[in-house]
Amino acid sequence: MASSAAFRELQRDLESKANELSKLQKGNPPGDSLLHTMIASHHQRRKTYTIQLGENELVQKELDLLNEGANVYKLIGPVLVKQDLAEANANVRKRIEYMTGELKRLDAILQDLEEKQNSKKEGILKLQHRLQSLQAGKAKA
Amino acid sequence: MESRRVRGESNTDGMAERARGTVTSLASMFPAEEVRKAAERVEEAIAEKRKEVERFREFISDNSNLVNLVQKLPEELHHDVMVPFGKAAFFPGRLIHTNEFMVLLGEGYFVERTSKQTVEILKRRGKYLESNANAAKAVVEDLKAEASFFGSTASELAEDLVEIREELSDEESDASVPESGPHEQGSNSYEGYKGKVPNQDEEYARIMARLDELEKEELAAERADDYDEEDTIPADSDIFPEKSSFSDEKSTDSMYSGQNLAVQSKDRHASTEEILGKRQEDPHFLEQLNDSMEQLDGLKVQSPQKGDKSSMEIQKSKHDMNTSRIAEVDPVHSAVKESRQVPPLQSSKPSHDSLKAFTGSIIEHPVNLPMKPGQQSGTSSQVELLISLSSLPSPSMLFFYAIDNHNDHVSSQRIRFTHLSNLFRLLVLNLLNLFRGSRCGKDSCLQAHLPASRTLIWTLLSLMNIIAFKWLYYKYIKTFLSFSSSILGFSFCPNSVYIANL
Repeated sequence: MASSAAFRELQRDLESKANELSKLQKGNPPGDSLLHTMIASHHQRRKTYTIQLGENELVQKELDLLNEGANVYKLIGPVLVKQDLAEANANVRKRIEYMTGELKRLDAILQDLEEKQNSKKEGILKLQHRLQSLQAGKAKA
Repeated sequence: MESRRVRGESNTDGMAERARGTVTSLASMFPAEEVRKAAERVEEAIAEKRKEVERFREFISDNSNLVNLVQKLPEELHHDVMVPFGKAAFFPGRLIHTNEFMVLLGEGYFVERTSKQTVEILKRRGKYLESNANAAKAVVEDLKAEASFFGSTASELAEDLVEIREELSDEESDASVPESGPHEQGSNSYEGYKGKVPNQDEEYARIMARLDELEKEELAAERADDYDEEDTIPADSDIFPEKSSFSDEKSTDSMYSGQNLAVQSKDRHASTEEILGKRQEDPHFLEQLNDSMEQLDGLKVQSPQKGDKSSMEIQKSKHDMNTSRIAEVDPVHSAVKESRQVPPLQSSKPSHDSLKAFTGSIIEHPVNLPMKPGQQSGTSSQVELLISLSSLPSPSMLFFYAIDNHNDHVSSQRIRFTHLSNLFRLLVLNLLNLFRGSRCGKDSCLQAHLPASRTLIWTLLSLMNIIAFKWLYYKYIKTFLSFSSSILGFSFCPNSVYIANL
């Protein structure tokens, strides 16, 4: 029994060390810091892109409602520059396309990051469970 | 608590399933700390969303003010105003182009518009803002509901309430659900808030029950179709009793087993055994089934094609059996998938299948069998042969066929022709099979199990059969020869080999 108890102790130490290592690598569970910051930044970028996309779509709608003669100006720095309606339309459309593409890309990256985070969390949880079970076993013995 | 446990047990006495109950105090299920933390988080979220709603409302009010201003400006040709100049200065000035507005559309784009057009743009913007504001309000409402739930949970924790869960059948669960209902709902939303999947035991049970009901309905519909088709074959009912009485059970089973090839999953095998076990009350086909099961050893259940055909044919005299089968099938349904239902049903009615199957060889529709079997003889008889072989021909079928021959002189010649050609083909195939016996794998070829002598006998009989058909005019001899040869022939020769050879 003594040997088994010792064995269990060893195992427990191993587990705890693995746990610490994982903590060092990933940051405190559940907040794995590196991954977390990455995810947060991506979220932020995604948010801004979404907002801009919404705005651009509004602009597109208004531009569509304009009749041909209307003057469109673009604010470039402190200067209002006259622009062609067709040109403005084209520019806004291009921007919308670009932003949708960026959003998709960011979505994919975010998914990956989140999956990684989840898997790591699960690993940590498992280690914790094992630790607990070992401790319970040790308490019984 | 004790009284509740007793109630649970007394309820289970009358039930087939044993109810296992767990009594847990809410405090252990939802630790107080976590509940409070969750409540706080919800509060924060509510605060945030409220701020957003406020902002939206401000925007909307600003917009409406602007609309008023824009509408008012063109009333005068020019306005005298104090123009802001830098951070802290104004100077008096005049606003002259009172109907020309440079409207910011967004993303740095401006457009020159008149007052009326500007008002239109602003109104559209206002609508957009309102929809956003409403969405934010809805979110706030949801969060409020969550918060109220957390409050109630906290109060319940304080009261030391207990949750009782019992694994019961649906009826019982309805009774026990109200007691633990609010708690379970709470657990649902609580866990949902935490981002986990909500507790789905109840839902899962409900869904499974619903699936079972649907499957039963489908099966019932299938049976209804079967019965409908039965009604269209009244003539067969007279012949079937003969067949059943005469039929050599062993031979049909052996033939049946011989025919049942093709790759099937072992699960079906197991399922048939399962169903066998449950059909205690019908000794007649229990015996049948046992025989067939022995020979099915190692073999698998029949092909789905056969299943379709067999399902189409159910004789009236066996209606009662069928209904009893249905009753049995339903409880079994939950254990066995619907696709697997077909083979057990088939296994219980080998004679039907065989009869049906062979008719299929000559004609496509079972209804047409007594009427115009010859019609199909010209067209793709090869295919029909294939079909017949892949389904289950049987001696009983042939017997019936012979009887039919007696009855129907007009088409007898055509029948004879098709029959003859089929037999011829069978003979050829069997000969080929005989010589190629070694090629067949054990699983797929019964032939390998049988001694060569049997096959020789078969070939002889088939020859005699052909001769009988062609040259003998004694109908009875003909029929006897035909069915005897077919008994042996079909019982020994596996379908797949035929198909392969064809």
